[in-house]
Amino acid sequence: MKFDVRKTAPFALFALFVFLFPLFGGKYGTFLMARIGILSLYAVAFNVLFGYGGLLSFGHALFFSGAAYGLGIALLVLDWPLWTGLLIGLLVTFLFALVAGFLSLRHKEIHFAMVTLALSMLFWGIVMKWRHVTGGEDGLAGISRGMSVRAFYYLSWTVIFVSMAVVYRILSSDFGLLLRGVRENDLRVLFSGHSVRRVRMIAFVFSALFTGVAGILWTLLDGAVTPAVSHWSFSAVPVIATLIGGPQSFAGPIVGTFVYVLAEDYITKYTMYWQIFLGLVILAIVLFFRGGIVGIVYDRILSRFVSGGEE
Amino acid sequence: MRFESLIFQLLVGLSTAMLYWIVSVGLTFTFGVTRVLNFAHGSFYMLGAYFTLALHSLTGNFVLSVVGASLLVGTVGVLCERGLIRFSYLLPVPFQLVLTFGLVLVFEDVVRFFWGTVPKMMPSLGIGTVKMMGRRFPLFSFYLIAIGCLIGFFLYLLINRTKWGMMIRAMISDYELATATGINPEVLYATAFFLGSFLAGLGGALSLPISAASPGMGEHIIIYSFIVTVMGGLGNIKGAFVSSLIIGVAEGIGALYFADLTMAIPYLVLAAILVVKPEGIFGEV
Repeated sequence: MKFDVRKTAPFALFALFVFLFPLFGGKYGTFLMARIGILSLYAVAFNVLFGYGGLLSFGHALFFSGAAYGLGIALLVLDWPLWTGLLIGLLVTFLFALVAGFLSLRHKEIHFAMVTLALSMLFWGIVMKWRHVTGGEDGLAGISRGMSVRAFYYLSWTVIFVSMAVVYRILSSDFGLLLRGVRENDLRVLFSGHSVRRVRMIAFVFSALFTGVAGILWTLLDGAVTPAVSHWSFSAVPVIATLIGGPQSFAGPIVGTFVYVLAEDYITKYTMYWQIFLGLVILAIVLFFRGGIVGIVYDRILSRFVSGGEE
Repeated sequence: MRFESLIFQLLVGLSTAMLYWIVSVGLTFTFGVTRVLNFAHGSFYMLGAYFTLALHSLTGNFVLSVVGASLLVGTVGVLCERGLIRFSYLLPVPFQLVLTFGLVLVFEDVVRFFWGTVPKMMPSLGIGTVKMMGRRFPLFSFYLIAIGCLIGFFLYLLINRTKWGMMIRAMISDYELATATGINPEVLYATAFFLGSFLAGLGGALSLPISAASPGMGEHIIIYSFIVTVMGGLGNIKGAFVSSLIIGVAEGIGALYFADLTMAIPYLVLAAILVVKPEGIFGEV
């Protein structure tokens, strides 16, 4: 890959900002920033399927909470050490991804969205009722991360950056090209001798695994798992964040998550009716700004300075 | 397991099945016509319940309140379609889904603002019970089953025996040809949306004697309607009826044998059916 200052400079500035943030952000700010990072990874992983693969999953909470519960159950119910918990969490997500991928990838568009939604709610139903293992409505509390919030902040952002770099690398490889080809015209990809189903399945599993990584970090940060992370409204979080930021670029979901979490944090300080703002923003985005924030910035400002290239 | 309990659960299952049917047939019908799967359909269900409560406290007449509330919800539906949803007809599917999801968030907060977050119960209607085989059965369940079947019958007449129904069918089977013969699609979209939202409102209104109205009720029913709709085949009315029955009865009977799994049963049924028939029981329309 070529080294391009215009592309790497914003990234380096962002990394520096994240690195220095705990020095002036305060304890709550650091916590919030860790949360934003984790949700950004969640949104980036989701967007592998949505923005690049053209598949809208409304059930990514399944993979997020699958890893979270895998970790929680291994640590608190089975009393295993932390590292096995991490492995179990990822393994659960991987198995969920295989089953869910097998069932949902036979469909496209609305059907795909509905099947992923139903599968995630199936897990939610199990979590709510299987009390002696999942803790039911109360969830599992008392998971120890074994370090301070600040230390965990650095650990989780490191994991987030590495994961995002891997996702970026995958998406800019030949496989990423193939995935976008499937989004644009799956018949042509088929005619060129590739298995569309296989491309979708690989993307699905990747997307689920990185969602699982986010779920594990989230559980360690919170010290608890609750059924809220398995409910479909939690699947809507990356969908909304990605649309706010813009699904057509790699940075879109990250920008969108920042805006989403900060706006929620700010508005809920003044009113309990935060959803109405969110709803109106979504309506405005769908009707008038379908490129999201990154799309607007790119079209209106950056396109004058940067030439060529999709992203 | 005693035989009466089985019959009782069957009745409960059938009456909830009718509720699912009334709501999801509205969803699947509007989808068939407009090709937009409406997340806000659950919000219309919720509005139906709250409007009925409001009208009931004004008039004191349940039947009148149910009809009035359903008509109001139908009007809200048309306003949403004309004001917002119709602009998404040409957009990719994800944008359509997310647009109607935005509506859900708005309606939920509007309801919270006017009626609060505490679930609201309907004052008892005194419909009573009937005694059969030494056990009391709620009479309202029988009413619900009758209403559900009547709606099915009227929908059949409306779609197969009226000019409006013929135009709808024409538009679904060949949009270009239908509009070329002078059918105005905008009018059909709006009226179809009125009918679909009316049914959602009716379902919400009829749920009141069974369960309390709360701001979360729309989310619950929309998921069930999605399941029913996907299971029966998107846009397929016959499929919606059959899969409503399957889901309702499976829930009712399942509660007897697998009490721990009750919340997962509808999803398990859907997953099982999709393994065998990915396109739904009767296929897409």
